[in-house]
Amino acid sequence: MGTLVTISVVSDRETSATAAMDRAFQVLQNIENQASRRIPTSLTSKINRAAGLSDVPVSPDFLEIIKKAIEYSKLTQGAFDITIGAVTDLYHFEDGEGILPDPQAIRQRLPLVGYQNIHIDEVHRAVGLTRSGALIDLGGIAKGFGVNQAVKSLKADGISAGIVNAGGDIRVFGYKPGHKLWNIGIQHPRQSDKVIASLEITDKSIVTSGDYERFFMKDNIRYHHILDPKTGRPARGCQSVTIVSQTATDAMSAGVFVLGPEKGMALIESLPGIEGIIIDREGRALVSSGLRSMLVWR
Amino acid sequence: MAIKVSRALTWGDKILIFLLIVINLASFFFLTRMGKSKQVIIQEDQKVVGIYDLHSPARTVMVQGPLGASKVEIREGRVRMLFSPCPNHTCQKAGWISRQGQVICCLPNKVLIRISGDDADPSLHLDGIAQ
Repeated sequence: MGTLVTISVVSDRETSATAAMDRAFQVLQNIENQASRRIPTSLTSKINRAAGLSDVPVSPDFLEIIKKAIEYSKLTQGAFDITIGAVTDLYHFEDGEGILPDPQAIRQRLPLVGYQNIHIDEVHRAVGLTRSGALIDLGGIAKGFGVNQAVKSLKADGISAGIVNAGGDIRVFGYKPGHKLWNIGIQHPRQSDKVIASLEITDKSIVTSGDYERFFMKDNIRYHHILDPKTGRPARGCQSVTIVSQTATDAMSAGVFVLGPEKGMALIESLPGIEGIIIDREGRALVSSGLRSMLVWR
Repeated sequence: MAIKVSRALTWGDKILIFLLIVINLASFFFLTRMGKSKQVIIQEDQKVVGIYDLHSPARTVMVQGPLGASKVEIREGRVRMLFSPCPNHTCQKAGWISRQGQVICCLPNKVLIRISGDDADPSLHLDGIAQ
């Protein structure tokens, strides 16, 4: 997942707790091995290579990720889309430098973007892409899925409290020693050493998508990795979006980011069990109704 | 016996008030500075190989791991893995860290960078940062 994952658990039996954490890390590693585009043998790589040719048999976990990705695409009216990778590649964010692509190149790749190009064969448990050249990138959803699966594994091993943090995608369950809640900060989008607010939670997940994660500057303009699937260009309405929900939903934070502050907050408010904080392009904070009394501003 | 109370401030009272104000301001300044005294702790294979003030002048630290030398850069209150001989460079891609409790870990070369320090306000302690 190209990120640091930390797992902490509360237990009075160190040996079994360590074994449970090892198994949770293994769960995350298995998802990485299936979902990563950097691993040539991953299911994602196989599907991308077979685009326009054939479906690829997949694991139940992988099929669940794809189904969830499509579900979030529909929920966000296409603002979140795992097929955006065909355009994202043009920006070379992964190389650390970044390149501003030629507008013509973006226009040529845009027809390859669209979750409608993903084909699912339920009978043979297989996934494929209907257009040659199309590709899927699960970077916006696999981390959250991994966090949820890791928590599931810890609970199955009898762990009653803990925190799983995959590069800032966080899920907590149970209580800290002394029956205390988990205190989670939200990254300030423009000052890397600050948090804008914090909140105390349990049995919740908190994930943030921000324009400060992967970006490059050109002529004083910030080009970041959260692209609008309709234009192929960085979404401009927000600096960051944080979603607080039962399970980790990085797809939701990315989708709301692309939708922008007004449509994004309307979507958050319409969904039960989903709360959020949107920092708009001017740095103003919009907070959903269920979260206002829980935030401690910093 | 009646006690006579004077309402006027004596010179002694004025000096005392002045000293209290000075002590108050000095302690505020001192505590604020204390909150910024973060340290970078660099470990190789679980052994501490260096401790540096995060706000010290810019410097680069070489750490010898099993794969070769990792290069750690401390600058302007931040620290990052500038170079690592590991295969996928995940530690380099982590970028800068600057907050207490943040870590950069290179598993292949067994190098760990973490920031420690004292928070003046215990409520600032966070179990994680959504980012």
